[in-house]
Amino acid sequence: MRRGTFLRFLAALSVFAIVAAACREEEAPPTGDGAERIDVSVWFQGALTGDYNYLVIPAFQGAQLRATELNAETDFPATITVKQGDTQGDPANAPPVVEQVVSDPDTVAVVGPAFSGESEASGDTYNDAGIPFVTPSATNPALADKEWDYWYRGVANDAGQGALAGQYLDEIVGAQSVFVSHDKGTYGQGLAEVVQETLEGAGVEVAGFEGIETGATDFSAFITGVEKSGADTLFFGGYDADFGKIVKQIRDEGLDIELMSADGSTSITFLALAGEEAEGTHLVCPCNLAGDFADRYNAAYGGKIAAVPIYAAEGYDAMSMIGEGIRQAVDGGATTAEDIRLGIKEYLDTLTPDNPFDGEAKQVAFDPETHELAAEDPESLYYFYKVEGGSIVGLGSAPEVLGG
Amino acid sequence: MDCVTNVVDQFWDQTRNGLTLGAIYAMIALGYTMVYGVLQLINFAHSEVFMVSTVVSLYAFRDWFGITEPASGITLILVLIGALIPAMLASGITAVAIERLAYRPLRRRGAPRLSFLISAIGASLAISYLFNLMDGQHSLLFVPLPNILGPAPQPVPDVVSGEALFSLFGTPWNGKRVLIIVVAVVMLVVLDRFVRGTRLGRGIRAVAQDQETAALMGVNINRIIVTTFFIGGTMAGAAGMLYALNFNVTAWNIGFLPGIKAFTAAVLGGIGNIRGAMLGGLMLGLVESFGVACTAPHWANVIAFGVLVVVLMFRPTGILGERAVA
Repeated sequence: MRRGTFLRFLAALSVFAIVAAACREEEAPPTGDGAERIDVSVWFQGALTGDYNYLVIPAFQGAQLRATELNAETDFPATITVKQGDTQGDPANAPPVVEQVVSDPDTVAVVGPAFSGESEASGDTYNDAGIPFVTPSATNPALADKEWDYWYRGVANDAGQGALAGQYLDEIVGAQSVFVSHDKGTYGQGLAEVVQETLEGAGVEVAGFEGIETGATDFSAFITGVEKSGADTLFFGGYDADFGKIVKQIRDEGLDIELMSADGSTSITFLALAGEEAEGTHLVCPCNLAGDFADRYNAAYGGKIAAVPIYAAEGYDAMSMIGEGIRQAVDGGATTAEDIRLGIKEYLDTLTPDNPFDGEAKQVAFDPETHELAAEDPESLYYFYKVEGGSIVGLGSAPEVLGG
Repeated sequence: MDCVTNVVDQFWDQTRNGLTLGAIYAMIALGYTMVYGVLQLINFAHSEVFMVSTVVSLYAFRDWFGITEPASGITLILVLIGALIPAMLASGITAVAIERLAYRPLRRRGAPRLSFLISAIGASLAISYLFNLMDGQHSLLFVPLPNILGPAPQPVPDVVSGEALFSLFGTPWNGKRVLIIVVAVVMLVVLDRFVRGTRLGRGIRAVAQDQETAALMGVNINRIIVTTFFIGGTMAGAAGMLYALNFNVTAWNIGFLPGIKAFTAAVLGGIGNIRGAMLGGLMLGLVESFGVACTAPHWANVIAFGVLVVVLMFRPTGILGERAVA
């Protein structure tokens, strides 16, 4: 039975290797001048692996970039260790991650959760534990109804996004008849419903409202339906992997209609999957991809996974605000993680529309009641994009494009 | 009712959609049905056999042949053959490797059927997640994994133009769809001839009918089983190449849905029955496409599996009945 023993040994070895790989400790960042610094953990919760990790990794890298910068500042009073709370974006994976975060005695704040579904599954625990959590990318409007005192949304929500998409289709694209589709997810369907309502309100015909099978590859039956509906425009609420395939196949079928989606499809994956056929596709996103931050981010990370650094600046800004909170808390005499958490929360609460944080992505301020991202002109938090020459080109913020 | 108008309105379009999708299901379903025929085992890792071929096709088109725009004429034929053969081989070898590592050790020890099932699911998950992790940033056993695929879906370059070749009842057919139908029909006919008409095919049928008696008659069981896995693998390989070519995409989890659907097709046609798998595949493709026309895409699965339940109610062993390979 030598062979059998060997196989068993091999199996045991691989299991060991996988476990070892999974448990690999994150390297601690270098400490600055060796002065008395408080060790704190800031967790990033989101899909760091799995189907949608490329939508989340930019935000994580943005946060990490900022933490590295803060740690390198000689007068920064703490050493931030960014810890990875990987949920693969699945709410079912959230509870164990949340448990880890809460039981870490050094935890002072969380950047995340990245998606709306996992936010719902995690928020109560963070709120009860008094850990401030700032999401760079969860956009479902209903999260604000949870009334979590320690939750902050560093990005504009889908209600505004859908309404602006509808307005854009009506006024800028000049659509007469729109087929509204979605991926049946919390994010995609919610967004599509707002688009549908907006279009109907504006008197634009909605030729169809249908959900697709997410993760499918052959969309031809769906596309035949779109074609026969006579729509001149297709809106899709959902993620890039689906939208890229749909766009490619629509053009392959020779269907010449206008196409639009939102932040879930604003990615390099969409561009790659749709190829040349992506040309002319419209996008709306509460993310600002312009400015020199994108260059800095790409310089630090090579932009391999995300040539479209969606929410990278939002992740960076979330960490900046948390860092500022830590600084003020420690300067104010806080020494324990509990005190620092409270200090961060107090600092975040001071960020109101008349006293915003000057971030890389935008001026960040929170509504004192809901902790939604707030601004003097809420529409200025959204940006329109169009695919031109194979890349996602900014058209400007919503007020600029729609003319106020 | 929208359903009737849509079905009438979209009849030829959806027939085309259903036939091309069904041809792919049929080719994958063969692997499930043949393995079931000889081992009474559902090889759930078969979806990964399919996935491997889409990845090989990606490399063939993108890197080996450096395709950037649709080819034509003799170049096209050479590229297609040059991708099809390695894709089929890679899938065949993957299938044989799965048999070696995941099933044969269990077979030797006479493990209960449930163990095979768990082993199959394990092999499936292990292979697909291995491809997910192969993005050049992860290590296994402290050996860095190569950058092969990674978590994001990868675009496959357009080899065959999406332009319509001809119109049938007002429905345009492009080269990709024509190619799928042609290759599928050729493969299925060849396989059918092979299993019915050759010595090796007779061996497969003999093992499927009665393993012990076949062994007593001098049939080398292990060789037959390996052959069965290999042939089923090459069929999934051909399907994978056509899939990548038609939909211009591959991903670590691309095998999951077609795998489930093809398994359904195999059961629908009568598991263990080769012609049944072909028929089941085409039927499922058509039912799905017309289901979408009749309702909406989000109902497609409800309708497809509803049909499966109804068929099994009246014909518990599938349309053509459960027969041991043939």
